[in-house]
Amino acid sequence: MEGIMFYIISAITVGGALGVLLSKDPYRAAMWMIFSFFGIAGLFVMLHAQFNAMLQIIVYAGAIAVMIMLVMMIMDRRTIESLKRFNSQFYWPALIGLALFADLAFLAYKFKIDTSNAGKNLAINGSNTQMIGEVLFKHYLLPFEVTAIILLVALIGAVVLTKKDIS
Amino acid sequence: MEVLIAIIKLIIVVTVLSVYVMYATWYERKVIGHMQQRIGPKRVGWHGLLQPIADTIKSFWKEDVIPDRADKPLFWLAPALAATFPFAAAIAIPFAPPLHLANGKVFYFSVFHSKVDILYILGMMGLASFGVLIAGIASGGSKYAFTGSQREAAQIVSYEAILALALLNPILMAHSLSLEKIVEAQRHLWFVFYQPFAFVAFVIAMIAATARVPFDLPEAEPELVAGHMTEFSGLKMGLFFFGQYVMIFVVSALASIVFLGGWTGPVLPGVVWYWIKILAFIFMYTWFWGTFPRYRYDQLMDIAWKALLPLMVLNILWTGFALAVGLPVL
Repeated sequence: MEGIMFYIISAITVGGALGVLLSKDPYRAAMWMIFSFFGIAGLFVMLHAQFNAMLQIIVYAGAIAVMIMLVMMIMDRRTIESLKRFNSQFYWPALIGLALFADLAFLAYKFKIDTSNAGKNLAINGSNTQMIGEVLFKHYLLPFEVTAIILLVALIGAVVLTKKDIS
Repeated sequence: MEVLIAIIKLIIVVTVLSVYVMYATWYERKVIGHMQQRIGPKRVGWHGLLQPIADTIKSFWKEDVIPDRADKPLFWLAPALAATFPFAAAIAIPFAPPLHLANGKVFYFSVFHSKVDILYILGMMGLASFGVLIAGIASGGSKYAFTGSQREAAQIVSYEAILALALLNPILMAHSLSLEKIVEAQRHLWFVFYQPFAFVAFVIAMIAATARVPFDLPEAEPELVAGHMTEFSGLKMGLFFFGQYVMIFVVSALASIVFLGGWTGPVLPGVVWYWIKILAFIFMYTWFWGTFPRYRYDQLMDIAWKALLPLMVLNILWTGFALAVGLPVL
C-alpha cells in the first residue's frame, strides 16, 4: 500500500518536473511546477513530516509560484511569447543533471537499494513542529540568524539594483 | 472503516456547503435589500426561498461560451481549481466540537484532522488564488480578465502574509497549530481580549483574502466588467462564486475558532455558540458590502504593507517578549 502511494507521488513529482521542461507556454510550465511541489509535499507527508509538507505548499506553491505568475503577467505579452525554451548554453546544466542522475543510479546499484522498502517511513523519529523549533533555535541559532541576514542582504540588494534612479 | 467514515463525512460536507452557498446568495440579496430599503427576492417561493434553486437550474442551462483565443485546457481548469481548493480548506474546519466517545476515542466533526490544521487551511487558501490567476491567463488576452487576475495575485500575496502574521499571535499563546488545542487554550478568556490588534488585522486581511467589498478589486464592476470572470458563463462562472462563498465560510470559522474561542461560551451549548459566531462573521461580510465604498488599488497595498505589516511585526515581538518573561500579554 505504502509502496503504491510512494510510486504515485514520485510519478507526480517527476512528471511535474518534466512538464516544466517540456511545456512551451511559460504559464503552463508554472502550473506544472506547482504540480511538482505537490508531489514533494506528498513525499514529506509520507515521512510523517507534516510541518515541512505544509510549509512546502504555503511557501513554494502558495507564495513563490504566485510571485512567478505575477512577474510573467506584468511582463510584456510579446516578450513572453518570443521566449525560447532553450538558449545556446542549455547543454551545460543538462550535463550536470545527467551526471547527478548517473551518480544516483550508480549509488542505487552499488548499495543494492531494497525497493520493497519504498514508501516506508525510515526517518529516525519522524518530525514535528516543536522539534524543528528546538533544533533551529537551540542548536543552530547562529547559522539560522546568519541565513536571515543573508536573505535580508539579498532583498536590499534587489531593491538597490532595480531602483537606480533614487538619489 | 476509517476510510469509509471519511468518505461519508466528505460527501456530507460537500453537500452541506453546496446548499449553504446557494442560500448564502439568497441571504445576501435579502440583507442587502433591506439595508437599501428594498425587499429583495420575494416572488419564487415563500419570501423567495426557492430563488437560489431557480438560479442554479438556470445556470445549468446557460450557453457555455468559450472565446476563440482562449487556452482551452486552462479555461476548463480555472473554474475547477477555483472551486476545489476552498472545499479542500473547508474539510479541515470542524463543524461541531469534537465528541469524546465511551471507548476513549475522539470523534472529530471535520473530515481531515491533523496536528497542523492551521497551516493546512492557510496553504489551501493560498492555492485557491490559482483559479483566479489561471482564469485571467486562459481568457485569451481579454484585458479585463487579465487585469483582474493580476490584481488578485498581488492582493493574495500581500494579505496572505498579514493573515499568517495575525494568526501567529494566538498560535504563540496556545503553543499549538491544532484547532482543538487553540480552543482549549481559550477556556477562560478569548484571545480577542489578549490580541485586539491581531484580531482587527485578521478581519481586514480575511476580507481582502476573499476579495469582498471593500477590497473586491479583482472584480471591480465599474472598472473591470466582472474582472477575472468576464469571459466565463453559465456553470463555469457559478463555480467561481462557489469558491468565494466557501472561502468566506472557511475564514469565518477560522476567525471564530482562533480569536473568539470557538465552541467555548457561557450558558448555551458549545455547538450553538460556535455557529452563532460563524454566522455573525458571515453577516459582517454582508454588512460591510452594504456599508463601505471600494478602496483604490494603491490604498489597498498601503494598508497591507505600510500599516498592517509593521503593526503585526511589533505585535509579535511584544507577544513573544511578554510570554518569555512572563508578563501579562496585553
